[in-house]
Amino acid sequence: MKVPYHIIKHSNNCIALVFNNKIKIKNLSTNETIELKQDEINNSKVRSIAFNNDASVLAVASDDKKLKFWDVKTGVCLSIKNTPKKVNSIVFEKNGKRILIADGFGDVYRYTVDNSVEEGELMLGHVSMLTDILLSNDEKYVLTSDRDEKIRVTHYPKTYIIHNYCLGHKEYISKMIFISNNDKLLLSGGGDDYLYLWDFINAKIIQKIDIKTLIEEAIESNNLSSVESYNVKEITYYSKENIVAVCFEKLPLVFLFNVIKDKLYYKNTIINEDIILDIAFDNFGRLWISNFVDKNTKNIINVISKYSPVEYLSNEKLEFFENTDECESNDMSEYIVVENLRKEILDAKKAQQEEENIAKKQKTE
Amino acid sequence: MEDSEQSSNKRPGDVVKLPRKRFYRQRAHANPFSDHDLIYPIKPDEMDWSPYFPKYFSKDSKDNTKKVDFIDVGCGYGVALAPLFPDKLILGMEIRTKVEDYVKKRIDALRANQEDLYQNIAVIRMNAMKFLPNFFEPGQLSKMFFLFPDPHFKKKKHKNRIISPNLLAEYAYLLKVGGQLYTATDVRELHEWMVEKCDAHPLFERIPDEELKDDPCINCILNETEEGKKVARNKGDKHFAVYRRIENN
Repeated sequence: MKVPYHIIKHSNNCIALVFNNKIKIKNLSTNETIELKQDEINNSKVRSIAFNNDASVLAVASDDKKLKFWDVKTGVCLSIKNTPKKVNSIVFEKNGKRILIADGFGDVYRYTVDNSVEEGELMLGHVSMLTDILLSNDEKYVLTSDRDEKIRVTHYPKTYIIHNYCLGHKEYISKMIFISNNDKLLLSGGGDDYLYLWDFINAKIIQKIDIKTLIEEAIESNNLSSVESYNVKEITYYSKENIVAVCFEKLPLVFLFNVIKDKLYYKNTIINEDIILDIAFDNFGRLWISNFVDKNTKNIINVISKYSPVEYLSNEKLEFFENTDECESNDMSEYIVVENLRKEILDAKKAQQEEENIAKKQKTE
Repeated sequence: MEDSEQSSNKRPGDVVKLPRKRFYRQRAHANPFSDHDLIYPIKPDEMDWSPYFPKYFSKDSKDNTKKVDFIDVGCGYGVALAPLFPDKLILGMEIRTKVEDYVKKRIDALRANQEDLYQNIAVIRMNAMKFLPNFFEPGQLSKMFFLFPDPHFKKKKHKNRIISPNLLAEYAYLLKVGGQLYTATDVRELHEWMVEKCDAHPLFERIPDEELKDDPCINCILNETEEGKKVARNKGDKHFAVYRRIENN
């Protein structure tokens, strides 16, 4: 039985893979894999995960608004806390003692990584769904992105002082990362035709990277099925060689870029055999690609190594979770997360709902 | 819905009738968290102010030096501040369509009747909780008015209040140091809430009521604005609090 991993994350030689509420962590140096001992009764889907600096703790936020801290070595749950709203993104402070969570209501709360019962400290808020959160390298700034085209740079920990807004996106932002060798560079993407590279301290756009043309060319030259809109799903960065990888919802594509002297240069396109759910670089520079699984899928994960075009990882240890549902009838719509951030789609769905309600009313009258 | 007379039909000696408020009623609540088909610029320097302040902004001119000085958030029905500050640009912001429509027609009529007055006030349909940074640069504004805002009585709706810890950070960002934030309400609990939140914010300090005795805005707010008049008719208590934006430390 194959199940797709809809979230994949790497830190410090550990890869976390998530299907629904089930989480496996593979240690790349020891090659051991453990499954976190989740409660079978509360099988609420995982929304967001984050490792601390040395990957000893994994923070997990689920649909049931529970926030859990897990010991990565033993697979044991250290603590369960409650969040007021569903969490979209998590970031650890460098010393691993506290985390910041960004929720769908627009708020950022801070929690301590311990056993205490706490409500979370409200740090800042947008009046808009938050999609991603970052702490700058020197932890002087917290960056939050939202559905209403804004990236806000706020002082940390004095979050009552806003530093600036990076304005330029015309659509929602889904993902932000630092190009970490250069502290001042921020890369963001979402529903726009472009990725934006920022000098975020000064709120200046350094470069706009045209991904629309790249996608259209890739679709045409490889005879791929076209999609209605282009939505950035994940951006990941391999710092040792300054490479950025970007993937999109409902597309089997990854674009690689080199970062040279504060600019991104297109390197090449990876055409994956399946639609991609998530990607992550490990510290060997291998790109892990998690595939959407249906009856035609050969592999759950593809690992792209620099040394061979595609390297297929032996899937035995990663393949099976116990008591999972049948996957042959996997529905892609369950894995559409980012596309729904688009305002037109939300409005179209609302309009459709209203029409259905009117139709219902007319039937009963 | 009956409309006010078109100002374009004016003959010499005619007075343009002001719009009649009862045809512009709308329910008091509009959810600022939803999308409202609003039009807004990506950033402040891309905003074309010429439709709003035609005397001060031309569409093509690149050397428009004037900027909006005051904003009146959720302006409800008042434009009384304009003649008090003839050289300042004042912008009312309102999310409810009918209310914005009413205020706009009122301003148009006032401008038509008195040629040069009221050119410095305009209204825009806007979600002030989401999009202020799209319109205004940091430290641009010298006054912000929050007059008789929606009280959102239920506890779970307190997050929708226009004065909140989260939003105060934005207001501090847009107000220049020394600028003022005015609040007024006839709901005692809301007044206490707004005072509590503003007091707690490190970038605002309260201006004592004694210092406000000569403030022309206060008299205007209390006596002349539509809500103030309505409250006076109903013999309610008017509570106000004014804060100064202080330096970051």
